[in-house]
Amino acid sequence: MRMRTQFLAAVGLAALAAGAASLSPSAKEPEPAAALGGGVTEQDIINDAKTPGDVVTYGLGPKGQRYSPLKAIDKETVKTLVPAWSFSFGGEKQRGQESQALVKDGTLYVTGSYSRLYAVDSRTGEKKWEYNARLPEGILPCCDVVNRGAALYKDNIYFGTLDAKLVALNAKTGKVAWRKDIDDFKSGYSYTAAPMIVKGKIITGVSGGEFGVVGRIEARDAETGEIVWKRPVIEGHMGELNGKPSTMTGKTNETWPGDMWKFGGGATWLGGTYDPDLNMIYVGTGNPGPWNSWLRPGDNKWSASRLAINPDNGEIVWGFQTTPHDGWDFDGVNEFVPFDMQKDGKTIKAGATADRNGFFYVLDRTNGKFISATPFVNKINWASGIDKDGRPIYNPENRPGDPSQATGDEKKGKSVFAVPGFLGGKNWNPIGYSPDTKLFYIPSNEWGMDIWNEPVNYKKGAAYLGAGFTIKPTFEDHIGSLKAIDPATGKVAWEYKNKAPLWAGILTTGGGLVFTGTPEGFLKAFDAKTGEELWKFQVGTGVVSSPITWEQDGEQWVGVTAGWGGAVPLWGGEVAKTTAGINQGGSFWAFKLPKKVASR
Amino acid sequence: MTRSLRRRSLLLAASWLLSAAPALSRPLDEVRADGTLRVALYDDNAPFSARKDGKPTGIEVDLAQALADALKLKLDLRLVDAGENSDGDLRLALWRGDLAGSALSDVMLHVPADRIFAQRNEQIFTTRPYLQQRLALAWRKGATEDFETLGDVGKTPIDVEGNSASDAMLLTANGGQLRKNLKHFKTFDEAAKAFLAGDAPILAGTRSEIEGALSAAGTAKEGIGLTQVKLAGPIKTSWELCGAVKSDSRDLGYAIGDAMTAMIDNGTMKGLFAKYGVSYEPPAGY
Repeated sequence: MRMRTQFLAAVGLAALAAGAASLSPSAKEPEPAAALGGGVTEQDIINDAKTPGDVVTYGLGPKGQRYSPLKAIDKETVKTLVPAWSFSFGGEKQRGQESQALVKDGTLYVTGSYSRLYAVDSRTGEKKWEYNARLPEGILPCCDVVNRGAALYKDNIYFGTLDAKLVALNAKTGKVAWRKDIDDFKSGYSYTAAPMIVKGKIITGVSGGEFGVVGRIEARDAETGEIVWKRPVIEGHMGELNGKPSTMTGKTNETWPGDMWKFGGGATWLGGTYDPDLNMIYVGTGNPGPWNSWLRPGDNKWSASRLAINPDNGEIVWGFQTTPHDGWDFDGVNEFVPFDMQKDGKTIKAGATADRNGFFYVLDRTNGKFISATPFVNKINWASGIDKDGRPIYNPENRPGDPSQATGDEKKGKSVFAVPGFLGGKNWNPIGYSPDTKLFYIPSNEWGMDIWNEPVNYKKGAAYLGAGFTIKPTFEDHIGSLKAIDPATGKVAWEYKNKAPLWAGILTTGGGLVFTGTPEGFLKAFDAKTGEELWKFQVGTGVVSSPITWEQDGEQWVGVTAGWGGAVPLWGGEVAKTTAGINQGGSFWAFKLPKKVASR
Repeated sequence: MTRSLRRRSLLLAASWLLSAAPALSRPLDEVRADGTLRVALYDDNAPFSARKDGKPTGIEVDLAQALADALKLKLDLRLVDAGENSDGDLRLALWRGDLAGSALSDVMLHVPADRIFAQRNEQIFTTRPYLQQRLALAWRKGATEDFETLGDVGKTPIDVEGNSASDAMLLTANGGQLRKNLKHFKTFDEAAKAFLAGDAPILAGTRSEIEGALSAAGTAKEGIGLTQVKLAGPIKTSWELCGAVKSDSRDLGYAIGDAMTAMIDNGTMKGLFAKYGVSYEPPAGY
């Protein structure tokens, strides 16, 4: 008997029915007229950054700048910011809440860990409906149980599940419209990113995957869930358009030896951004496989890269590889944020990304041309810099050893200390950009790793070559480092140091503020210009999500998901000491100014 | 509350009680009282454990049944998917469980018998080993010249399961000279099928896998040569397999080990392997 065909029953069904009933037309809350006209439109999505009354995209706009023009909460008033309501996700599934919420027409949508989705009254915090995905037995997601958010389009809300399924639900009722397999969870695939809607298509990547994974981006018709195109990100693989083979990615064996490109990795696990004017999707790709770089001489394209893709047909417009021939697990998945840069009196259509490898890159987003790269963490030693063409200047002695040259009793080979460590100078948690200050805000971490070949490793009961590593903080007093960086010069304008690693995303506002959370449990507000800490609130558990802000009934609200987890607590050693004693939790917190203050 | 949810909360209760009342973690007396031995084996791991027409089959499926019989228990078998490493598989199958709250097993087979591995997995206790496993190469006579060492391979293509022990060994052998020879497949089964259909002249795998695949396909042994790999690279070319139980169920581990020893001594073990066309090599020191 196939055990995994037995599923856990959805506990959400009963709640769902109850929620649907309370949402009948007689519900007392009057819905704005726009809600009756078919939910979220293409224009709503494109204009999201300029319409502070709602948040309908991951990133507060398709470019993912995470900037809101709202300014009622500013450097002065923020000091009086207080909670308005808190919503608990309930149950035993507390850990790992990395979700960015969405708000539309009086409803706040937030995903929870273990593939859950909640619709909540955005004014009161009362639950409207809840959906619990049924997770199959034997599920093995690689890196924790998180979910980073949902997408709204027309009448539906979309999110991905740990068993690699994409689910479309009616945003009003929580009723499932369709459910599609992104891939086979039995092969280690999962899905944790927030999907993206571009021109009526829902764009997704893949997470996890064991041997056999090749990262790819897929576009589906958002209404039916049917595949429109597929774009594998590793050279030699054929794309697909309207059910037929389209074009090959790169050229076979250009940057890979033998047939290793067939299983070359490059998992596209963190979603992307979109520039509607240029009609380009920007996505990042993960590290190549197998982990030891000596086994795959060459650049290994397009692993550890940023790609610009045409959303209409899935063709690659340009590619830029941040870490060619990666040997340190420097995933290139981190978000590429389009912005307009003023330099030498000209406006450059640029984009920026803070890579795992510790460098902050600015590229021309029209063609992928390299503009600059500067370190955003200290003591980077895997490379001494980035050359004028955007290529790393490697320090060969800090590349983990060649296993075929390994010696000694346990044949570990040379252990190297590399900075940053494999969790990166910045991990998944998104950066923000303020067009007011013209600064990027980067939630970075100062750490390195000892890494060596680990011959005492077994896979399916058979000997295998693994990696052994220990993460080590670079400094004694802090790991987390929130930095404001001027993209035109690469200079650090200010820095806030945090003892524990930073794992939450950024929100910037027209009120001159930067919001982010800490594992220690604080949502904090900083002066966007100076970095001065202006306000903090303890939510009772670690914050590892991206805050949002929205306007409602003439007031500015701020909200954040709370719940310690993610990849950091999965690793021990010195880093664990900085997060010891942090309590679990699973909730959403909404804040606003007291009425009196707001009207002053 | 649904049945499966109740089972989940039961499991949680059990793990909470673990520290206070070790009896709940199923050492021998608990297993005996229940009358059922829950054994976890790998799925897609022929010739040891796989499914044929939906039914578990293979050497370790038979071994699990024989162990249950020896302990006078009913067998409750589950086939689990292999994860990123054996450490994680033991965590899911024996002591922590999976995300869905599936039932834990009492015993897992096909566990590496390795001192360092055992030390870092302190939540489990390993039984006596029952098999010496070796990496090997099969070659089609006539398609390639006889060879004794990997140096004789030259430019001859090799079919191999990606991310496997053989793959790691071949990728690192001879300073990486064989990398371009390798034709990777997702599973050993696919690699073996390609080899048997005349793809590459050489097939890499464990000796048991190769013999099992040849036997299952009814291939005449005369046409195929089998060479064991001897290599001083970073990858072990030989290791022992044992069973594992939770660390506070040592008495169950001893009982399993004793039953295996008896089966090795009286020839039953050899017979289990022979049924699948696989030669049996007892662990070193036996």
